[in-house]
Amino acid sequence: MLKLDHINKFYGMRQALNDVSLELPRGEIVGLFGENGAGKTTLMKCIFGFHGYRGAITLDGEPITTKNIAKLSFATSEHSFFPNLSAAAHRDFYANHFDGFSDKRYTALMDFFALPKHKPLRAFSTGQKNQFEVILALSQGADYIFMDEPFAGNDIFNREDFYKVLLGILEPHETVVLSTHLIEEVSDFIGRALLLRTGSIIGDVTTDTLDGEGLSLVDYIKNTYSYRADRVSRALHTLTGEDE
Amino acid sequence: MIQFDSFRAQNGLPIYLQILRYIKRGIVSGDIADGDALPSRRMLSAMLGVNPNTIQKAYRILEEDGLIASHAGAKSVIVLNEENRARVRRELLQDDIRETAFALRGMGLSLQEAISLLTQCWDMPSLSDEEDSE
Amino acid sequence: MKKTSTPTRTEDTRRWYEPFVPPGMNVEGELIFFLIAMLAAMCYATGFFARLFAQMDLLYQYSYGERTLIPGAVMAPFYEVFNQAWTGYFIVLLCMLGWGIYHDLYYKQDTKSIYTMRRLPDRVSFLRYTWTLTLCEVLVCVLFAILCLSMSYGFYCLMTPDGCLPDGQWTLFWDNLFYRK
Repeated sequence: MLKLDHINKFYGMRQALNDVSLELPRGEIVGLFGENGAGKTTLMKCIFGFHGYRGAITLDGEPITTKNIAKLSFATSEHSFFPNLSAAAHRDFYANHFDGFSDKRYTALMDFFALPKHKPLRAFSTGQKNQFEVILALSQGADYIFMDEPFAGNDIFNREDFYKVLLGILEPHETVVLSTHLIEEVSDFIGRALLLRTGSIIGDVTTDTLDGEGLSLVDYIKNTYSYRADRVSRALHTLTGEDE
Repeated sequence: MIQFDSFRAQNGLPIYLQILRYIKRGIVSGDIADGDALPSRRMLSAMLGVNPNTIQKAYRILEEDGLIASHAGAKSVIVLNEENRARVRRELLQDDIRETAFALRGMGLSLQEAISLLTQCWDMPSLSDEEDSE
Repeated sequence: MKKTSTPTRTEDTRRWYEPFVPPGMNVEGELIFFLIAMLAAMCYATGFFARLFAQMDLLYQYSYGERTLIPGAVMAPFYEVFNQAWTGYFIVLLCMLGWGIYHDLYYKQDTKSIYTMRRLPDRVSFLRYTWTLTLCEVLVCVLFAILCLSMSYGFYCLMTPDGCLPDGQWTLFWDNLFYRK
């Protein structure tokens, strides 16, 4: 169980995370939603210890240290691979550093996406880079796989393929936390939705509950953010002076 | 094994209900027969891009309805007999008619008006056939 | 660290120095810089010999082509002759520390490989990759500086004619290290 207790994070005067408390058991597929600057990336970075923060984050009761950090993996749109190394060199690097690295999964995913094994990563297309970043995160042998907008720049066919492959290979003990703007696209894929706004969690619901209430994920999110459906028409009215 | 190639996810209805409906339609049309195997939960989850818990929910409901039999370690299998086949057909029909009835009521029709409209249209070909012949 | 069942090498070329430099970094430029900088420091250090011979020459007087030792002549103090000939090595040392900082910045340019480095389960690896080369370069600088000092002092003592060598030059050198007394 990954537990966050009353996490607060300030950048100078600005509060990036406001009293965030969460429990993430194993085996969930969680969507993390929120506007830009809501704190999604900051939250993930705090979990890994890239930032300081106030509060406690524990994995199975222990704080996150080098002893258990291998159970967490990270794929980011900023890309965390080494641009000068080839895919094969990355594979060696990960195999050397992470005991749980799955060669089987790595090879299967590389073959599925037909990525070149001996070309330096900087020569990959953006879509290929995204794919490789996620392949590493999935092959590391982690129990919690965090993905921060991993598909920026991938076409929709690519993305849908990826969701399907992911569902096929994930084991019951693995949890995926996926931060994305593509709400509709992931609404069938995820089992739980977390909503962040200006550093606070304003929604935490399972898709099971939404089904029971007859609410789609998009509607739930719009309601929670008090999205004003007439926003566009009102703006147009002001802009064009036209009567509705 | 039961194919899901023609399954298309749509907005509006929760996906687990859409899966249930797909299976029920298959049963009624005869595409799905007694003894046909369902894909494993994981495989169907990957094929459709749908969360495994949702698939699990659909399978569980099918099992509670007596439409499938699950054995540990093996694929779930459709169990059809006269009784449940008739029941499924009835349920599907009822669902479709309910929706139509709801739409007609929404347009302000009374039951009598609805019946007379139905009688009028009973022998007419479907709209798609009509377009083809024009 | 390595799993026995997973082969840890798939590329034909795996250079021996790879665990000691940031992954993927081309250190050729750094090594060439280091080499040239050290050569420059060595050239500067040889200025000691020029000064040594010049000071030795002052101990003699010349008449009719013959060289005789001036009675009571005393060799200039070692610290003056040495004149911090080893400075070059310390400058190179500071430069290589600068390169070390560049190693650290390497993980934040282009991609954010720093996120991977900071997630490694063994504490030592990050330091090993980032600072080993720099540490070696710094040690070489220190070694050369020590050699420079000791060899210069050795030459100073051996080559000064007997009787002209003033006492306590070693201590005097250290007393005058940072300012002239």
